[in-house]
Amino acid sequence: MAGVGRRALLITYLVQLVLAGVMVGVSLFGPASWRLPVILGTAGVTAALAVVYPMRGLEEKGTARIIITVALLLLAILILLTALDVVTRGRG
Amino acid sequence: MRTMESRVRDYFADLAQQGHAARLGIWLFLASEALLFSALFALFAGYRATYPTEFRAAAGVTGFGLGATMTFVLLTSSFLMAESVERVRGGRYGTASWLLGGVAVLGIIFLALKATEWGRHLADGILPGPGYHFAELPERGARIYFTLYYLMTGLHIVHLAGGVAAVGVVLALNRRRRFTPEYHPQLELTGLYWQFVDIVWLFLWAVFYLDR
Repeated sequence: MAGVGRRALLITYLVQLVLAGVMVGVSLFGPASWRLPVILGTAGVTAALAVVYPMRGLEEKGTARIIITVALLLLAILILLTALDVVTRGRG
Repeated sequence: MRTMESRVRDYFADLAQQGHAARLGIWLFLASEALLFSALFALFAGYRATYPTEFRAAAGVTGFGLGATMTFVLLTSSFLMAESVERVRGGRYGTASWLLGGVAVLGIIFLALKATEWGRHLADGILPGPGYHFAELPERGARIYFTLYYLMTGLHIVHLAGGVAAVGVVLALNRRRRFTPEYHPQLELTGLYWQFVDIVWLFLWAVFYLDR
């Protein structure tokens, strides 16, 4: 499997640092109502960068790609159900 | 010195197939780990919805600056890890050894920072479970928050300590010239694992340090 290149790794690292700074900024100055969703969303983007570049997740083929896809699907179901639980508290 | 052919196990046709099986194995492992941590985050989300005020107040007790420092340390270590894999691919084993040494040192720094933080919390009476007696936040929600804090960050510490040990092993293998630019599965797998541990930390940082 070919490497992603050192330039791409450096840019990924710098972008991740910027995103971490954004998370700190939102935590300090963001309104309480949307603070956590934005912080978690930014963490998700930072994590996705790690999966795509240093981990080269998109380059995987065959069974490994199926495993990654199924894991992401299961994660999505878990996140959806947890979010539904949280937003529907106290109703009905 | 072992030849490349002698490294192929009996049940694989060639090194490429063996390497593919190794990557398949690590992705399967990481997928199961992701689901383990996700279940804990779901548990955290459920309790946070029940005790939103107490959870925010408790997050104010964790070290904001310390959390940011630990994040910087881990992101930098992940960059060095990815760089070390690239260097081995380019046949620059000496540089890769230095980078791997840097990863191990940053991992140990992270563990030391976490130990400092835990020590401070324990001295304040912030213990997990029924031993909790922190006077500033006596509410039940704060006790649950810190029980989850110790459980989830503790699990992460175990993973990171395992990662540091694995980095030590691949550093030793690299120094013995056991890798080639074409075949270095132990290094690749350790790199994937290290990135995963970094990813988990990003979410731990978000919920335990930034949601205040």
